[in-house]
Amino acid sequence: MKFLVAGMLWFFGIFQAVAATPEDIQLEIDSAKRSVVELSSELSAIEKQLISPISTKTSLYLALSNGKFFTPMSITISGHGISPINYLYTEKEVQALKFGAVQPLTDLELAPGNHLLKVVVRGRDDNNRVRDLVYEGVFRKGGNHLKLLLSITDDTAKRSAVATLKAW
Amino acid sequence: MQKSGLLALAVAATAWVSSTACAQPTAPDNGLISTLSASVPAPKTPLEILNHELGKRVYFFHYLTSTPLDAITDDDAEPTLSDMDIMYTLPAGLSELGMDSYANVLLNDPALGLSPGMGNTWFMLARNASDRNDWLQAGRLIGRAMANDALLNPTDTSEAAFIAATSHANRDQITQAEQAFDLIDEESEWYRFAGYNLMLAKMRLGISSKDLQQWVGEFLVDEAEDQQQSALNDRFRLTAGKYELRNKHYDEAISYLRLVSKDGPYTSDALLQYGWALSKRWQYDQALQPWRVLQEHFPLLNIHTLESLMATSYVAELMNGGVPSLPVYEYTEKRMTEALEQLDQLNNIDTLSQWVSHWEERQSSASDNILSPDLQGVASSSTSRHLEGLLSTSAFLQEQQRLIDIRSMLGWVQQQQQHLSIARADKLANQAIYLEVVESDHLAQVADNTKQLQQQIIQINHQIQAHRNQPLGFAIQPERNRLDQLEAITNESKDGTSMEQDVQTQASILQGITLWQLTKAQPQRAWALQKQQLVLEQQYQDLNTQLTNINELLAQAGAFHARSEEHLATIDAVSNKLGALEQTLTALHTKQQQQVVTVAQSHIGMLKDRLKDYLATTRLSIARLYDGELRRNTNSGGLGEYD
Repeated sequence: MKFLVAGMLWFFGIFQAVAATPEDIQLEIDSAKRSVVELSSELSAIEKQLISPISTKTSLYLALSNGKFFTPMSITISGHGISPINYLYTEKEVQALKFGAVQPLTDLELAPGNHLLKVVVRGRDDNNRVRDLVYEGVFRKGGNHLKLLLSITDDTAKRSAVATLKAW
Repeated sequence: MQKSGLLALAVAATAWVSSTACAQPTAPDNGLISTLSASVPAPKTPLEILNHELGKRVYFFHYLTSTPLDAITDDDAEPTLSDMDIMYTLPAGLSELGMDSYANVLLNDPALGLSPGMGNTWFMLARNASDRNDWLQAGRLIGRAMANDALLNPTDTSEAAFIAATSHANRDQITQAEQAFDLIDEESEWYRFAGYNLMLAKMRLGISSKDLQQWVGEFLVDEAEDQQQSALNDRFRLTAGKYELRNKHYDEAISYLRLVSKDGPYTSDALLQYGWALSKRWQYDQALQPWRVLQEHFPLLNIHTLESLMATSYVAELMNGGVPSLPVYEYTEKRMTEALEQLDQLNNIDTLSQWVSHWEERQSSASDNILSPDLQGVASSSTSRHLEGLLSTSAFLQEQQRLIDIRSMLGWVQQQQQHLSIARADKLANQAIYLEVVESDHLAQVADNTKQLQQQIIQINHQIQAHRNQPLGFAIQPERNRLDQLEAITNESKDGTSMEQDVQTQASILQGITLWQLTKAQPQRAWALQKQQLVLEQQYQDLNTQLTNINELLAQAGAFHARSEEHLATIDAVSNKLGALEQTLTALHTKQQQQVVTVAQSHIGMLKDRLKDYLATTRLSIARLYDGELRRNTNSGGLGEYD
């Protein structure tokens, strides 16, 4: 379960409890906020680990390398046994991806075996033209939690971008 | 990893508390963060290192997209929180969640507090303090943000300088305020805000009319592009006008006040002051105009409208002398009595509670930040209009923010309870499906079918071998029968007629042709059979792989569902925690609603006190006028007695 957050907040909370009076409603609100953070962490763990076996999980992430020749606007994920997923990007998210952050796209429940995945990323190229970047391929799901990273990388020679999928 | 993390944190916390119990100053390497970082084991195996890297990048995705709660609680990111790269950003994230006290605990730690590159965090905390009108604290924090080694984001420099300038200006430290002011980009919106705050400081120190005019002129926008620019123009003019009015520079006051727009947030105050300024210049008729506008177009409970009523009767007396101004005074008394009745009606806990409920729900649902939603303003209603003067006070805004925070958290808890309930049902449904699959003979049937398929493949393989080993392999029975017939004809008596001999020759030729055709077709027929065998083999392999995968999945599911009781107990425990938090928040919500109502009542009380003063003054004036008239009539022998 998610103990680090709980421990950390408890750790930091010790000192403010000494500082404020018990009647202070702000202290009660701060305490409630701390509970929300802790519970949010526990709920996230329940959702990921206790509803179905973690071994059936496949997590899909997206990374953008440089992003000079392609700026994503939206993404569509589909495949056999995968409910289609559509996502629209905000400017902030694109900026975060350009800084090297990794977006957790989705968690899929999949049985062991081979699975076909199709990803269409719509975006703008360096000439501001709309274009689709398509990845289609088969990945193998084993008996462990599989983490897949979809990378959009610049191909400087072709002045273009390519999408590749690899296990993390 | 996570369990050991908790243990380590708990131990570290206890150790840290014990070590600080003697109130010794903390050495940098003995601080909270250092202890914390040392307690959580660093990733060692390549997989742990990879996952740690992924977690950090996921954390930064949430952090940079302004979703700090997701950043802190994301399953991937959570194990990396003790990483120093993450720790640097935690105070800013906590501050964004409205958890400033936690952020301050972190920042007071030597490991972070003395670190360079923390400019954005200090800035965010300073901004929160300035939002709370705590300018002293804001000034202290922004000093840290603007230090050379803090590496503040350049886009925030102007706002940071505004906070610094305002903080100094509030303490009348003009020189320091002007130094900070000089750092603000003139094109930035903060330039004019800081100019206004500096003007207030200069006023406190007695700026001359000429200097004030010059200062205000610097910041007025000739053609305002939006309402905000126009409102700030008005604010400059209104404040400067009031300053000049107070200093008895009536012409200067009039020149500022007459230019305040007629449809802005400062109009009512400006109309009132404009009337006063004109009255001080003995322009009584003109002075009544703005007050009439005020009384006709603004709510009666507007503090400026109330004051204008009193001002009207005062000026009427100056214009008309004693008795002729009595109807004006009586009208004023009547309106003020009405206002007092309205205030009494408004000062009702139920009415005010309904008013609070009306706007709070809309506010809390309009933000993604569940711990500290942005204030959206109060919904329009007659109560809101009557309490207009209250809505922008810092006391109300603070209580409003607290109420919205609580309401938002309460909504979140209720939503999570529903989600958890669905998740629990899903888990039980998954378990039921698993048991159904295990208990049914469906998988056994599939296994039987697989075996049958395997048998078929073996059979075909035998057939191919048999055909290959026999002469005329792969020939079908009619072809064999025909060949036998032809051979029989060919082998019949050689002494027949010439016709029979011809038939025998033809049969022999046909036999040869048939044999040739069969020989030619043999590879194709062999391949067709082999292809069939290969297809079946592929199908068998696919089926077998699938069966293996399903068995593997069932084994995983079996192990998983074997711990169902434990999982359900965890879910129920979290559900109970949510229930307990809901109770706490409900109680807190009721308490805070009452607090907002109390603030509103306090404002209404202030209005009532002010109104009572005005009313008392008005009634005294009426009494004075009657008394004066009575005395005059008495002195004149009862002639001309006022009726």
